[in-house]
Amino acid sequence: MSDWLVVGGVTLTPWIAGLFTLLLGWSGASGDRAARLAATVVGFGFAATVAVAIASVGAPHRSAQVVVGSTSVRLDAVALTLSVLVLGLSALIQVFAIRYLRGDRRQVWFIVAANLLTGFTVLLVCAGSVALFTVAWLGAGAALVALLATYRPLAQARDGIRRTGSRFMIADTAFLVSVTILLVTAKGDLPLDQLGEVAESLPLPLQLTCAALLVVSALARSSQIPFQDWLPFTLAAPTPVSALMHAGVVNAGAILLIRFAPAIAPHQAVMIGVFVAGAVTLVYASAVRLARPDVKGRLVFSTMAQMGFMIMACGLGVFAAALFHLVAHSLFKSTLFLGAGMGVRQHAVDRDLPTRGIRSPFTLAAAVTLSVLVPSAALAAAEWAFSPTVSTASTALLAFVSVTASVALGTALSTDFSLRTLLGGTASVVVLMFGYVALLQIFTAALEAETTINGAPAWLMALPAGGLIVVQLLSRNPHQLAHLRDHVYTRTVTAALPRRPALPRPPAVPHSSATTGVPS
Amino acid sequence: MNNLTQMTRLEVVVPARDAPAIRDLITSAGATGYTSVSGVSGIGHHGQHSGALLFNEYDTLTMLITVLPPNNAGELIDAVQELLSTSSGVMFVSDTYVSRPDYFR
Amino acid sequence: MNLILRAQVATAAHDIVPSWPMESFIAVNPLAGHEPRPFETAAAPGVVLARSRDAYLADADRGRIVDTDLEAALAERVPELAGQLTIGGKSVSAVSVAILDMRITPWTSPVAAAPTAPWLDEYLAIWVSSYLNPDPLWAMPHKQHGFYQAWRTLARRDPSLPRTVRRTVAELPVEPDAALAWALVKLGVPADAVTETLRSELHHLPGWVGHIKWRAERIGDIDLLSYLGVRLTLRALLGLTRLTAPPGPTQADVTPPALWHRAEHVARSIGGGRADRDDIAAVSRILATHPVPDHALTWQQAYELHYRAALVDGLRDTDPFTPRPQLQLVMCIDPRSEGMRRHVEVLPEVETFGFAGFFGVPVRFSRYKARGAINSLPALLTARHHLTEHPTHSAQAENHTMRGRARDALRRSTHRADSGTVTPFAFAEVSGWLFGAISVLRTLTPTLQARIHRFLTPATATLPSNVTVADAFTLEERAAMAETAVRMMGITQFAPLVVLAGHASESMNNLYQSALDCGACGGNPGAANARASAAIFNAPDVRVLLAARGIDIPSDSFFIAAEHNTVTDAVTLLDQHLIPQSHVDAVHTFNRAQHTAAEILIRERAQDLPGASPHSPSRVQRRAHDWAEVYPELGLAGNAAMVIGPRRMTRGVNLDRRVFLHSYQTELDLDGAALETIMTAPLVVAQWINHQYYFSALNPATLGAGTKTIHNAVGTIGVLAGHTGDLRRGLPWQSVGLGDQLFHEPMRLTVIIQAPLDSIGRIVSRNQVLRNLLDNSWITLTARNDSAAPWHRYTPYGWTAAPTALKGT
Repeated sequence: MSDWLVVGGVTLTPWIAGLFTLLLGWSGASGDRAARLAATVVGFGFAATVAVAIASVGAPHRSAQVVVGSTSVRLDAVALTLSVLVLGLSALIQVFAIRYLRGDRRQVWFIVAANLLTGFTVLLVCAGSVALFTVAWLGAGAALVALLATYRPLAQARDGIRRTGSRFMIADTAFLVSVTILLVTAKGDLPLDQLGEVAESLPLPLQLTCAALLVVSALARSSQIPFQDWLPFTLAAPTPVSALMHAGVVNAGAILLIRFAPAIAPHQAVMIGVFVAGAVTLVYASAVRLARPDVKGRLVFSTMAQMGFMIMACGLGVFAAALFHLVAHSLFKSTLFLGAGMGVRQHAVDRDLPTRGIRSPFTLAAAVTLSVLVPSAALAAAEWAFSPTVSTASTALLAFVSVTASVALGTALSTDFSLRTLLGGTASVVVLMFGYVALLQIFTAALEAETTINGAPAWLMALPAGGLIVVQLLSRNPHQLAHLRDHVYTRTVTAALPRRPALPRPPAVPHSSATTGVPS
Repeated sequence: MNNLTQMTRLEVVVPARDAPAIRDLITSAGATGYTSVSGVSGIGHHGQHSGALLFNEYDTLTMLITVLPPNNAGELIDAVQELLSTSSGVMFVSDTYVSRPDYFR
Repeated sequence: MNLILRAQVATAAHDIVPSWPMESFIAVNPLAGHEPRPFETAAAPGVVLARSRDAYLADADRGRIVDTDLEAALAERVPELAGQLTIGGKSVSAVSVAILDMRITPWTSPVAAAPTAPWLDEYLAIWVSSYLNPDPLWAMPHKQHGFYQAWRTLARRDPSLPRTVRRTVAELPVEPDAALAWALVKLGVPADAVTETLRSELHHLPGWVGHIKWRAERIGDIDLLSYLGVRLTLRALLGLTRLTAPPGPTQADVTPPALWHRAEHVARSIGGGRADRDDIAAVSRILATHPVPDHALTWQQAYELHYRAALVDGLRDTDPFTPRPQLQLVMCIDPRSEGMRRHVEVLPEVETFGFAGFFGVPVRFSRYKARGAINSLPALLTARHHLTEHPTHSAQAENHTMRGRARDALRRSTHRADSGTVTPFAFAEVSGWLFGAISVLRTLTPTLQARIHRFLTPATATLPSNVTVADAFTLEERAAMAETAVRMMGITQFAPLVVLAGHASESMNNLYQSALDCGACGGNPGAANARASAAIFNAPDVRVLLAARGIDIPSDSFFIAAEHNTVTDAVTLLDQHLIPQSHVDAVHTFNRAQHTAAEILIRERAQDLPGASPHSPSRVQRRAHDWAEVYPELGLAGNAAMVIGPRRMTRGVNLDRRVFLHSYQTELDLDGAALETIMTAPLVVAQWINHQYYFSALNPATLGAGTKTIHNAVGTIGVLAGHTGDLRRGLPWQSVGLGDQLFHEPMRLTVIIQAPLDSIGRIVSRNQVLRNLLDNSWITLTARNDSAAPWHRYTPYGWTAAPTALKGT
């Protein structure tokens, strides 16, 4: 009984909030009241989930669950972590939207759709069986499209809905085929913890097909190549929609990969496929982001790249790292989206900062040396302190952390080579490194692998890393490689351009003689 | 007058907001320089124009004076004429004599 | 170089209004190109000049427009309407027949259609925005060669163009003039249609085109020639020979009823069934003088006249406060100052003045050792003097700079970690947790968040310093500026404490924050100018020169600068270290008076502010730090009039923060020079602002920026709505309306002046800008010689007595 209560407390609040808003909307109450009520209800759901999560830390091996036949809702560590995240962000964004969408005629629509999406996403992460997961998966996709329809009268919004809808339709068909195979084999609903056994019982080609189809739907939901063409076109919705989307729905790909890992992870070929899709998206989206002039466009392609990173981590088989990235990035990106209007103010702040001095070669050399030594030392110390044994894949990912810290510290020191900056920078690097490794350790411990993982080999990481470095070098407009640079730049600039409509007649070809008509 | 060279002198009086376009034409025509007098006053086709205003440089008249070799002036004159065909402003063209022609080429 | 073509481009672009970047938002009349022509001819595709018939009828129902207003409006617009006629045995006036016609004859205003974005526009928008990208992570290669050449070089590799086109791009002329000429030939444009073709091409993407025009004049890295070069070349290459007209308004679907039909309808509703053919013919003769397309602007005029009548009626002439005032407060002419002035003036010994918020000191200002500067002066002027700060204590300054450098290091390192290609992933993983916490604080407790932020960033605190006004201007210049200010404001005696309060607006996450700052300071906070002005007035050598010109500032008069925060209504005194011991008490008195006034004012403002309540003023103040707030304040919404004259005319009158108030006394300006300055500068700025609000309210989709909630900033240049498209112009919907209702009443500026009619007339007749605005009904002018004289209305044919309803009795 208490399990019913617990599970209900975690999963039901968005539905209640959505329903109340719908009723209030019908009765003609002001959107403001509906918004306050909905945000409060979801806020309570968040508080309840946090309480459940804290309680479950005390009893780690007993997760609350509600089982009906073989269909179940299970609150394991992953489910609780993600529920806390989803409900927390949803409540926060809804509180934000109370003021942000004040007086907006589509406010009620937004609240209903946002709660629908939250409800399905919580259900998705808590689903304990394949059929329930499928329902939540399809529901979340539909709710997202509804949310994108907040400003349906705008042509850009309708274009976004069309693109999103069609990509999801293809991907979800693939998902349904795969799920049907699994469910037919299991003769009924299939608990996720028995997924591995059922999948293994299939003939190998079918196993691979199933896994590949699941991957396809995961890639589409996370806007990965070759399904990347919907996310950049969804900006004609109010900022809170983007925040909710970039912090929630786009992560669903990784959730699917993590939950269906028993059916996917044993096949290295499929895992390499996942890795490659993630890695290619990572490089592509990073390049496009550099050329984007608009703040939200940059955020969109940044999300796409971050999703690539997360999917790539899944492909390597380090699911805990992927989950860790998912949570941190959700918080990161929702904040950036909600604060997308800060640019002018930031510019004004920068304007008043003191002029930068010219650095001598000596200080630059010192800055570079320190910026390499300090982060590596801090990382090594943190690793030694928390987790003496690490896999190659994790090491490869930790290399990213080390490089980032070096770049940050190096930039700080080359900007202002002073004791204040050195001490502050070093302290921050040490604290952040230790915090990072410790948190990552907690995630790894919570997400024990229960299945065989044949991840992509870690050395493959060198490819996307190399790609990123090349893009970074090209973006400095070097004189060498001008052709490659121009080529890549032009492709990235026109990346978000819709296809040119068919022309009524073939283009006019000016011959060189045509230029004689030019008055000089 | 023996050591002087004949040149063409253009004086254009336009609203200050149209002056950038004229300046662009003058420099594009290859003139080596121009003189700009802002806040000129007078009476013309559109009535009176007060001179310089204390806190408004945008709604006053500007006079631009440039000198260039006669064979270069034709195109500029046509262009300014084109520009003045639909907006207010006047252009005066006259012959002038300069002592150091290389300054204007 | 093709000079003729350049001239043709300039001619085609003549009426395009340059649009300033968002970081220094300058309110402009988006239809300023039409000002030399009558207001009613300014309607363009996608632009309406008045509200809908339903809106006016609703106003008539609630008494916002009454019959007297309609009569007055008709008298001004259709002067030939006069006399009586008999219809069906009833005697009615011609005017009442016309009014009845306005009430019952239906018309629809064309719906301002949202601009569509054909592929070519989208393509160009992306290239232009990438080229102009102000803080690029990857600057466009070949940018140094100009827009056309950069595009020409890169388009060879553009996958969105057909292969054949890409190949021919390489053969295009190198210069934009030549390319444009080539394209025009290719497109088969005859020589006499070139200007017209270019003009219609410039109607597409009006936001970007307006910004390019601004940029060509101010920065010069792009011009309309190279833009048109790319645009028309592309047209020619793609074979888009049919030059499409820009998106037009959807035509009104109801054609106005025929005159006879209208007349019949009107006659029947007056005379019932007894109206015969002769009656109808008589009515139709009257109605012919006021055709249906004119109705909208007659309604609009009645709407404006109603407000003006009430405003003029409310003006009074309070007795001057003869003893020496104890405190004088000079504030910007901005309507928001009116509230503060009114509430501070409850103390009889306080006198307030209105003056342009840059206090007559046009400067480019940068903070101590700062890397950037602001042009703190009206957009009508060019910055020629650079003002900066000189710290009072060098040790403090040293410390300040060190903190600033450390902060710079932090900002730069996070920016680089976030914007590289390899680093953002780990950066997100590490900083995401911190960002999440910041998000929660910002959303739930904005005030606490702001306090924490202030505590953690001492570098942003102001450094005690003096402005270097003596370096920026010569003594003679400073004395001249001081004299001008005194004569323009008409200050006759100086109080012991004179507060010069500039204003600034504080808001978070608001791309339009600059639109809420001081318009007279070029969309910047006005503190620097106020500080400079106070320093000028306090300098003994300036006072000596002023005395020689007949302006005696007593030695015990102390000037101090202040800044009025228009979100929190706090008036903070600046440069407090300069306050002499003798004036400490006076300063305390001011602070108390200002504090009380702010408390009342904020409650008053809360009544109009969406989502605010007069019972919780602190929540209104909280909006300064609230990142979720799209209505931090209402700005200049509601602005409708400008009063130029002594404060005695308006003191004690509640003008609802809708009126620009410029102080002026004829007695101190015998030659009218100060009046001319007021009428050609502050008045013009007020008119720009007024029309910006007017057209943003009426045309949110085309001349306004639409809803803020989907805004997507391009650096500090401007915003897009959604992921691509044109740069939005004007003010966002949140500046003028809530939901689908306007809270800004769109009215053309009513100017009221108390000064000799002769000198006003002389000033108008010799300034074309004023002739354009007044003769073409873009603004109206009502004036009187002195407080005892009757009101007169300016018309192109001379002064006429203002209608009786306007007589201020």
